[in-house]
Amino acid sequence: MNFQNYNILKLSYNQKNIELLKKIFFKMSYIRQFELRAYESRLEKKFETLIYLCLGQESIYSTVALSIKNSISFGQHRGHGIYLANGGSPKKLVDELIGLNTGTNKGMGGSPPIFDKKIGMYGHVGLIGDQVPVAAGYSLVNKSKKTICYFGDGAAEEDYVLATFGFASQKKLNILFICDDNDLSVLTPTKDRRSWKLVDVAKSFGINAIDITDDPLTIYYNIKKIEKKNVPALINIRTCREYWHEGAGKDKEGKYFWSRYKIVKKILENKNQEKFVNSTEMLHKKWSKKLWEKQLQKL
Amino acid sequence: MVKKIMGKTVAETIRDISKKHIEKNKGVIMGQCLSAVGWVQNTVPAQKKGIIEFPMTDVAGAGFAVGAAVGGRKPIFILRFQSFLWLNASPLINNAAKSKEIFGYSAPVFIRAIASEGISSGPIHTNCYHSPFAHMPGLPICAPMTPKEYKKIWQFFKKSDLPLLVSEHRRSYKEKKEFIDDINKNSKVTLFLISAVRFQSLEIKNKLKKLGITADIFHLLWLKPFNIKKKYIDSLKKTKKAIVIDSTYEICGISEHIAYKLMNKVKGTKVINLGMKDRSPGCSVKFINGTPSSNEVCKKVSKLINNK
Repeated sequence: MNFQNYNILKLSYNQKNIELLKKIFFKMSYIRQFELRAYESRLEKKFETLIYLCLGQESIYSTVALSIKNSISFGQHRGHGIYLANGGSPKKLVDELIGLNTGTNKGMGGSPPIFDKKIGMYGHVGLIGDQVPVAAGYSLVNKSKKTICYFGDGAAEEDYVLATFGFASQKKLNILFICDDNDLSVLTPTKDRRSWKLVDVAKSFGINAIDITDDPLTIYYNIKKIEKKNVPALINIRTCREYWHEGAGKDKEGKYFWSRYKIVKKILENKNQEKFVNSTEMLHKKWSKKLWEKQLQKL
Repeated sequence: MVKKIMGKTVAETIRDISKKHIEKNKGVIMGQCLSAVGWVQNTVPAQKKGIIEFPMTDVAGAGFAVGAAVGGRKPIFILRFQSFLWLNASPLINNAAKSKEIFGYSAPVFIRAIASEGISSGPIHTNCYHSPFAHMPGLPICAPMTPKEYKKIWQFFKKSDLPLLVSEHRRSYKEKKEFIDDINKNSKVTLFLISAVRFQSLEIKNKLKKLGITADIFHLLWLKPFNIKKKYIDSLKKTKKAIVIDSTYEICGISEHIAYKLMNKVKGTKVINLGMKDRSPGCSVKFINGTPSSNEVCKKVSKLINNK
C-alpha cells in the first residue's frame, strides 16, 4: 500500500502555511546535509563506528521540534534528527560518531546513546523500544512537561512497549508516543511481522491514536490538536528510510517509496520559494562539509 | 557472634525508612501488588501516598522505575521475589546500572529484591539471584540481614547517585538481632557468611565446637564491591583455610568469586565456597535445595580441615 498521502490534511498553501513550511524545511535541510556528509564520510571509511542515519525521515523530527516547545524527548538509535532539530551541538554529534572523547557520550556509543539534557533529550542504550517504559516512568514523576517518546515500527512490537501504553493510559500521563513507521525492521517489512495496526492497539488501551503520513503540515496540525490535552497520545507516522538500517549504504527504493524532502522542496519551489530553497540547501551543504572536515582532522 | 537488641525488626526498619523517604524526600515506592495482604511482609507503609502500584508488567515495570529515577525521585522498586529479577533485568542493567557510564547522568533506583526459600517457594522463586547481576558494571550489591545494616545501606544509597541492588531475604524480616564478626586466637578455619546462612552462625559455631574446631566467622554485607579488610587477611594468614557460604547457587556465583579473590590475596591459603547445589529446588521435601544447613557447613569444614 502507498502511504505517501495516508490521512494527509488537505490544506491550502496560504502565506501562513508557506512560512511554516519554510521553517520546517530549514530544519529538514539542516539535518539532511549533516546526514549526507556523515554518509559520505562513513562510505569513504573515514570512521567506522556504529551509525544509524535518519535520511528520509527528517520531516518528523523537524516538525515535532517546531510544534512542541519545552518538552522532554526520549529518542531511539536513529536519533540524529531529534538531536539536531532540538538544538543539539552538531560538533559534539560528529565527535561522538567518529569516536572522540569530546562527543555527546565521550565516543562510547556512536548513534544510539546521543543525548543532551540541556535540550531536554535523553539517550538510548541500543535495545529497541526499551526507552518507552523509561520515558513513561519519567513522565509519571514529571507531569508538568510533555514527554515525547520516539520509537520505530519494529520496536512497537516489543511487549514492554505495548505494556507501557496500558500504564500511560491508566496513569493519564502527559506523554506523546511517536512511531517513526518506515515499515522496516532492518529489512523485514511490517506485513511479515504482524497482522495488527499499532493505532488499533493503542486505542484499545484508551490512548488517543492517529495514523498519518510524514507530510509536515499534517504532522504539525495534528500535534497542535493533541497538544492541548495533557493526556497520552500516539502518532504513527508513515515515512521512508532512504539509507541502510545501519552503516553507509542506500536501500533499494521499493514500489511505494517516496522522498518527503523532495516533495516539500517541490512544493516550496512551486510557491515561488526557489531562492529560499536553494540558499538554504547551499548554506547547510557548506556548513556541513566544513564541520565534518574540521572534526575528522582530529582523528 | 550474635548481639540481642530490643529494637525494631528488619521489616519495621525498612517500613520506617520507606515512610520517611516518601515524606521527607518526595520519594516513591513502586512495584506490583504492594498493597496486597501484608504490605510486602509489613515492609511497606500501609498508605496510598507515595505508593505506586504497577500493572503486572515485568520488564516494562523496571523501566518505569528507572524512568522515575532518571526523573529525580530515587524510587524504591520492590520485586517480591528475586526470581522476578530475570524479567526485570534489562532496564535495571542497561538503563540504570550502565546509565552513568554511557550518558553521564544517573538512574539511582533502590532495588529491593526479596528472597524466600522452603517447600512453599518452588523451583523458580527459591532463594537469591544476586550473582548474575554482580557480573555487570555500575551496580553495587549488598545483602543486609539486620536493622543496622539496612540503615547503613540506605545511607549509602541516599548519598550515592548509583542504583543499588539490595538482596533481601524473608528470613530476616522478623529479626532484631545484629551480628558481630567472631575472631578467635586458635581458629582453624575462617568462614565468610552471606545472606540467610548468617542466621545459623551461632548454630554453626556451636556444632563446630563440639567437633573440636574453632572458627573465625565474618558476616558479609557488601557483595559488590567486595573489599578485602585487614581482619580477613589476618584471619586467613592464621587459619590458611576458608569457606565462603551463600544462599544461592554454588557454581559460577559471587561466593566462588569472593573465594577466588581471597585466595589470590593471601597466598598459600585454600578458600572454597558452599551454596545451593547445581539443580533446581522443588516443592516436595525430596527436592529441597536452599541455604546450606549448619550440618552441611560443618561437614564441609571437617572435610576442608582434614584434607591435607
